Amino acid sequence: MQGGSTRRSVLAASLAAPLLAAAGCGVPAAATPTASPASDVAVLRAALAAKKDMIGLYTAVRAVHPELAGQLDPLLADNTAHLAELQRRLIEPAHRSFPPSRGPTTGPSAPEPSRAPGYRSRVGALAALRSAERKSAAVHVGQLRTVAAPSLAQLLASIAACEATHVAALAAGGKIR
Amino acid sequence: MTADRDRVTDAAHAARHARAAARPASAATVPPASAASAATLAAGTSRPAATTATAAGAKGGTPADPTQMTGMTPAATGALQAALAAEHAAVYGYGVAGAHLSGPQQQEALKAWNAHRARRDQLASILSALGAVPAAAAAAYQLPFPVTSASGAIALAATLEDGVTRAFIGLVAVPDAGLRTFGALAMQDGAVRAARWRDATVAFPGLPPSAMARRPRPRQSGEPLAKGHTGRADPP
Repeated sequence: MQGGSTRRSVLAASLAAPLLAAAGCGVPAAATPTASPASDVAVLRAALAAKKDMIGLYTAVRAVHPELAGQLDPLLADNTAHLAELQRRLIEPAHRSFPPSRGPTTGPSAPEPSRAPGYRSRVGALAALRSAERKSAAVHVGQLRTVAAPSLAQLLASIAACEATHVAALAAGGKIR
Repeated sequence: MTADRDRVTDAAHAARHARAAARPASAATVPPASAASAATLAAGTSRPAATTATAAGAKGGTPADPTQMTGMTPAATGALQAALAAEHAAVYGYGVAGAHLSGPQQQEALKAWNAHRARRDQLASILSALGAVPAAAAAAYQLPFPVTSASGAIALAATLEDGVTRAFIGLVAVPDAGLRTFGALAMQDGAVRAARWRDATVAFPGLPPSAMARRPRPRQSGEPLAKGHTGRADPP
């Protein structure tokens, strides 16, 4: 009986190992070896800057393609809510100021629509937004590995989940269903 | 495919005999335990879940050895159990929803049902590898509201996905980076399905409103201060 139990345990472990690996659990590495409040602040700053760029990108696309407002405005509102919540979580010492984000029309991640040929077409603009949302979701999931505070991890995961829904909505031409 | 549809219908048939009573979900906090209670349709008949990760897993430093997995605390195991409970509820609930849908919507429900079954099995395997006993499905679940039409079925499907997403956000709170990633990706699946059912997105999938900012507002003239508040800043 003991032997049977052991065999079952080994079998279960061997079956579960690929699942754990697929789930990202395969490496029992230290959970957040470098996580600290300081690194949380860095992650928060990066998320804020990226979110400002995202909002700038939406705003720019919307300016070039006003006919997309009905499709883009709800997604832009989500992103604006993300920015507000991220800003609320960042408490800077009074003597330090938050470095300004690259403007959406000056930064490399969000070129000015009139200079970016891809944005002139509606399809290209939507593809750019979709790509930006997908990339942002992936970045936020990656940030979970370095974040110490569980509440910040949950916020980033929630924002990433929202961005995943945006990818689906943008791919579906506004009708997500 | 026909067999799968039959399974959905069979599950729905059984579900119709289940008591369908409103049970408002409350998710005031985000820890795994409360996420679990919000995710399950009903907890009354579910078997108590084991929440310890003790030594049934393989020895020798394999990934399944819970003693070698950083962060595999009872809280982490509890979060996994909560996610599993939510998946059990989703599998059951989609059986109900699928019976009231037809055409592409029923196909969508079937696809979601299979996805939840796969995730349920994955969670059970992980828990077993950690030496925990995976929580069993309840015999029946209380639905959050009676489902008698396609629109009700769609609302139920969205509610199920909300519950699963809330459960997985509990997993994101554990220290283990792998579990966090697993939970975050599962949240994305649930959020996308919920958005598809609703044809609308939400800004913060999985997070209860209570977790969000409550911005201080200016006190109105004559409005009393909150109890225990002096109106002065606390001393440093």
